Amino acid sequence: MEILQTSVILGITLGMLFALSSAGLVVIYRTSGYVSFAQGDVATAALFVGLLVHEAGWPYWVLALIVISSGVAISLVVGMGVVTPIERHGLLSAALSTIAVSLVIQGLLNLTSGGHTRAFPALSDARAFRLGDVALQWTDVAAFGCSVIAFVALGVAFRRSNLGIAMRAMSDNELAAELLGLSRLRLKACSWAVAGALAGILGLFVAPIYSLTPQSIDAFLVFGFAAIIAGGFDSIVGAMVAGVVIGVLTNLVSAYLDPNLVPFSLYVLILVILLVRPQGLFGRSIVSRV
Amino acid sequence: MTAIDVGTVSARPGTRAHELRGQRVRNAVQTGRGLFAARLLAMLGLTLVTALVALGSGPALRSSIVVGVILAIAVLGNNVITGVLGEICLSASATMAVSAYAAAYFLGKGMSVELAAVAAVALASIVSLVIAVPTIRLHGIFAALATFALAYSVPTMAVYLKRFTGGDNGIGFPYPTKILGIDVSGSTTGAVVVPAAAFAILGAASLVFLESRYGRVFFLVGESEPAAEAFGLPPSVVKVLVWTWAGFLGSVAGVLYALNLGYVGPANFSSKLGILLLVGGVVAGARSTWGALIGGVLVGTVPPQIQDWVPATATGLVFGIVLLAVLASGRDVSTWVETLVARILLALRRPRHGTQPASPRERLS
Repeated sequence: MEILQTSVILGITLGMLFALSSAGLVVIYRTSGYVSFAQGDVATAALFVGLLVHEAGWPYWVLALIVISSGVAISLVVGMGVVTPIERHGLLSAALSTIAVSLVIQGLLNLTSGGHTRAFPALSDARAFRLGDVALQWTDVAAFGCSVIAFVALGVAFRRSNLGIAMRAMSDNELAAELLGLSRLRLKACSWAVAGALAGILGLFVAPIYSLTPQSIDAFLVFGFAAIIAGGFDSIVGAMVAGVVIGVLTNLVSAYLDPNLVPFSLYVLILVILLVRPQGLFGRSIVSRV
Repeated sequence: MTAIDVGTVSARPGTRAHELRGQRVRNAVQTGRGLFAARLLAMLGLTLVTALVALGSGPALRSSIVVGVILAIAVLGNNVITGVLGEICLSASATMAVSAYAAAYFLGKGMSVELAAVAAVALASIVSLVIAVPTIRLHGIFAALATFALAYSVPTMAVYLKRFTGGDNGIGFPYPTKILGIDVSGSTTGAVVVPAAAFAILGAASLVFLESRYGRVFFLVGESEPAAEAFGLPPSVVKVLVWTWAGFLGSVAGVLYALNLGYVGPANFSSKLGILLLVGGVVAGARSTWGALIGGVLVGTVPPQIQDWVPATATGLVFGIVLLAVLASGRDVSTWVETLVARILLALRRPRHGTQPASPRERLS
């Protein structure tokens, strides 16, 4: 019972991070129609910049600001400088280019950092409160809070704000959106910037747990992929719910079966959901005229 | 249809037949179909040259070329999915892992190498078929993510099934591995000849099939599933066949890989291998059989050959830059080469000075 309780509580906090990692993917998907395989590498590169700030003795809040703004800058360079120009050869080419960017960033980080594992500072190591038998730290609480805020903000922005509605219009029909006067490049830049900021925030919470290597955040992103497939590619709420479900499920698999089964259980979950409900739990089914 | 029929017509420079032949060559280069004999010869010639280069090289380079040719067989399979269906498959490494582990397990149970290889390929192909059934419901980025999740899960799954796979330590072969009496391990002559022969046979089979009328059906499904259904064709069956054929080729590569290395472990089949196999295929040409050889050899030889300048962990940098260059140009290596060769050949047969070009009436007739 104690194991179950611990697995569920920690699974929810971990699941919110999975959800946060999927949020950046959804933002790019809703504007461009593909996901970025380089999202984790953008976060890692921003964290390495942040680590320099930390080693220079700056306080945590400066480090956090630098990581988030570096995430925005790197994401903009990747999105607008590399990926978006390749869209003229098709969306699959653009998706492939994000794989290429991922390889380039990982290669550069390995070259410059030597690929060693590094400790990354956490927001706080202090205990916040106990929930059942589980002692939660302020970092866990902050990660949960940031994820909820990010999801509420994104949900409201995509449904209510002019910018969010314009992004959805661009994703549905690019030509029609441009004929209505929307700027394709400006909207894409916005989505890449938001995704970069989310990558930075995610990195700030993941790096202290898993330590920092050129691949650490990238490996974490696999769970984000699973969350958006399970939740539905176009659903922010779906990504959050699926992220939490995956967090709990993977913790239970790890506790009761074997930690080595976690990635395979993710794959099975993806397949089952795609077989039963191809558009995901909260996604809209796409109807196309033949 | 006219463009296909002119092959038997005398194509003197300046005539309509010559113009149509030029058009046929350009179409073939753009679509990756047609010019069967030329493509078959190019593939066989390139395989022969690769084998000769390997035989003339030192053990280190020879070994990496051998691995490259083996990986080229997996790239060939991946290319069918990318080139015909237009989907991204990142799980070629998973199929390779299944057949490699199966071969090692069967060998450990006392089977002969030949029987173990056939059984392993059969098992991995059946697994590919089973996985293909749900996977074909996915398109575009969805298929990419699902196959990536599969590739990501394979190394840890191998550790979990340690009773069969040896866990983290993997399975080593304590004896020389011979197929029909030919040693295929390490950098022996047999290790060069057998994978090269396997690639040539499987490449020729792919080429023959894709140039046949059944191949046209496959391309039609890849171009437009609704159109294929309107013609009474079953897209689901075709797609399952494509994914299974790709799985079969990946299994052959997996068995040869295991026999050549003499060891099977989780680190051999990371998700990065799946990514690099896709990258190799896309860079060299997803619709080209000889391009698959280039792609496989790139993946097999570049990382060990550049280790003096670039650390092993950073070799992805080179692949990333090359892939970006190819994607930005909109043309892969095989398209560049075929375009260049076609231009040279057509220029050599350009109308001589004073020869009248085909009249507009001739062009329209």
